[in-house]
Amino acid sequence: MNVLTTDGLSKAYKGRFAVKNVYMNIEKGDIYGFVGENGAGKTTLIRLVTGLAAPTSGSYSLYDVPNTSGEIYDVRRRTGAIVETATMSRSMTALENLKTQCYITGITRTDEELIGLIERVGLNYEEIRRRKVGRFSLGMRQRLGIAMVLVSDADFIILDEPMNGLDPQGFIEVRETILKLHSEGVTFLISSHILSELDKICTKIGVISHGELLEEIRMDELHQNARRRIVIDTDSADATEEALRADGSFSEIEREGGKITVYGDADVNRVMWILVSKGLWVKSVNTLEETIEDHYIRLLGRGRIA
Amino acid sequence: MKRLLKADFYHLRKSRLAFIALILALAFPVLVVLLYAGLNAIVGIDEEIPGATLFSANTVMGSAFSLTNNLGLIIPVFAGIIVCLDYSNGTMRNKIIAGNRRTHVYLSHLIISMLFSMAVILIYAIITAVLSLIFFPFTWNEALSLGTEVMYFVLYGLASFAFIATVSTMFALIFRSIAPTIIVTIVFSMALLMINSVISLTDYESFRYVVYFIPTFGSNLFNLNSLSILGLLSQTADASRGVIFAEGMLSYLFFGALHTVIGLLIFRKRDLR
Repeated sequence: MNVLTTDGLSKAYKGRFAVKNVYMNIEKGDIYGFVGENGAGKTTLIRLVTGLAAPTSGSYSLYDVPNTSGEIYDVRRRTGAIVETATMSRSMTALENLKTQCYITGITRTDEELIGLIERVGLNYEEIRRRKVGRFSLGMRQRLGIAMVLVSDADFIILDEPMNGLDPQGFIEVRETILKLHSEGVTFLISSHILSELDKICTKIGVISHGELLEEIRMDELHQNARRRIVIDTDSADATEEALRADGSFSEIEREGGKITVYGDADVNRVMWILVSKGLWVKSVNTLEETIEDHYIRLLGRGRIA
Repeated sequence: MKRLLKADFYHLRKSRLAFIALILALAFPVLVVLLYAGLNAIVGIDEEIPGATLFSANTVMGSAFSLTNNLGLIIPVFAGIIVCLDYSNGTMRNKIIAGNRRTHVYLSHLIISMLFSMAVILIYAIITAVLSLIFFPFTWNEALSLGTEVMYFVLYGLASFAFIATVSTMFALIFRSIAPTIIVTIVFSMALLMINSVISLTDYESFRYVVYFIPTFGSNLFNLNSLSILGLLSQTADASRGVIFAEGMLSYLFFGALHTVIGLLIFRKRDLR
């Protein structure tokens, strides 16, 4: 089942496209990582699908309901989102903000349930019960924002840079919360700069650059096709490079200072055999798999050239 | 819509703003009565000279629903701030994301702003009336029905504040910032009062049919030769008073609706940050 589908979605401000002709698809059960540099169009796209901004052209569907349909308001109730920063009244306490969110979404929750939500996102209720949200740290507000999203039993949650302002412990807590909710059937769209975090939780990623979606790929597919590389650290880089090139079994060889990187179907045993047979000494040899970050950088380079 | 009203009302109930407005509504009548009493004491009262009493209960009560009194200017500003805070906190975004229609979001703000304005000014007016009746002489034209006149006066006063709330809500949604909303709402209110004053110096009947095109012009028709209840209550009984009242209310209704439609058109098309 499709949760979010965009069909040539575009948004222009004063004739300049912030999002251009985007076709993306998020299926039920996905944790979709939305990756892109600052100003790539991630937040604009999120604004469009949450109804905060109107598309210049193209359309989108939530749960197969087109944005032009009157039913879109009903399906939005199944969606929760934090766009850029968690938004809440700073003159209210955490519990009061959650109560307001209950009214807004039309959900009835007891105080005990709301306190449970506060605790669930890693905030200590007893510590903050009288404190106004204006006196919360950014990380605390971010956590409360997630609690506010959870008020509505949303089965599609959009988080725009959820890790912003969080300490390492906060990272772990938010990640665990996301994975827990995912195991309960919640679908996620998460935009983030912290690619290593997305690598740990995403089932699919979309890479956006200059408003255009460069690629949409499932993580298992990405890992399956991931380019492995062998990094050799040596004092005799010239001779090592020459020996590896002469062998001809490696598709790509790069050199940076004393480090040589071998790509392709590189077998560490074969690399070692070549070097030993030539009497070359190495400091270290490491086999590395391409991460989401490597993939992103490589893709972005290609996107820019294109 | 109902849930938005609940949310906005809850927000208002928890805000310091509403608390401050309530305190002002309770404190201002005392200050106003003290001010008028002070002025009476300075000028002096000579009962042998008709009209020597500068300020009667009628005058003080008449000022209660006037936009020119301090609270009259502050209240619409408070109403605008309610909307601006929803923008600046970003809580308005939560409402849209949760699947609420923009029209409902706007109307909910408008209704809460209007009710808030009217409630605060009503509290202020009641306390002012009670204090002025205690401390100042009150005169009444027996030819008029007290109940009908009080009803006209209160409804008309409330309508004027409800109308200004539609204006401040519109400005709040246009500017999305507290400072310009305050400034423009005050300037707008002052401009209306100036128009009011100019028209009050002219022959009302000549302008009678323009009532629907100039907001608050109706108040001139209604209050006839004075902007205060003093003038109103000293008129002789006249069957046309009901018509004048209705015309004045229609004027507010028309302009309130006009500003609401303009505000809605802007808000529905605007991208929310």
